[in-house]
Amino acid sequence: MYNILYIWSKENYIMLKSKYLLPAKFKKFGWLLLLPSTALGVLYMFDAFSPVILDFNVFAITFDGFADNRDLFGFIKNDIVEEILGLCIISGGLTVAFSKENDEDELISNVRLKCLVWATYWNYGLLAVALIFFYEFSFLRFMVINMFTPLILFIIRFNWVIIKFRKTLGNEE
Amino acid sequence: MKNSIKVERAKNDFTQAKLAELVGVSRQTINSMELGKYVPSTVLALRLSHIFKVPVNEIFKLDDEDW
Repeated sequence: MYNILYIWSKENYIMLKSKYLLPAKFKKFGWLLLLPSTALGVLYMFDAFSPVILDFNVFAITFDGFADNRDLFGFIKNDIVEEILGLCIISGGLTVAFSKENDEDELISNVRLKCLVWATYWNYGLLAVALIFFYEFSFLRFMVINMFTPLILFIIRFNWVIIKFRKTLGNEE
Repeated sequence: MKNSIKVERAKNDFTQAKLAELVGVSRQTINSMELGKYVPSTVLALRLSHIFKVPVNEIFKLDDEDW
């Protein structure tokens, strides 16, 4: 009887499981992509890492510079390191953030949602501070970091909460 | 909200892990519910009711602060 119920509930459980999440096994690939690209991204940002071999002619939809003229649809010469690193951080970050836990269930989905709300508040809180106190290039640099902070803040918060939660799981009486 | 999951579990002689398996959640979810830290979804409440063969509102009871 319980076995039948178990199978029934397992199937329903799969149906009810959160959409938009990746299978749990994707998570380690996400880390493999996220950690090196973040490290290289930080180095690149502080000019400690800048390969010159990646200068390519790339297609651009818009590529206006500091001048007032708007340039649309054309080819420009560009160091594609930024593009590669940015895409690696985003795809790695999304994969880490939104791969299921091995024991993903409604409670973990609940924690996930709360952590997303938390990360969104903190992201815009930091942005508000930068808007008020950062100017010129410092603000621009902050905006570049701000492209990734929603994911990074969420990943840190979610993992912290889940680890803490698993640690406090008391022994059964 | 109060619940009698722990009592019902004892009556049925289930461990937390066994009950978790039967209703399709993790053991920590059962533990959190027993400690009153997590209020389950209606689906999970109905599954518990199904497993324990006890009506939902005998397992879960509203507290004064729920009003």
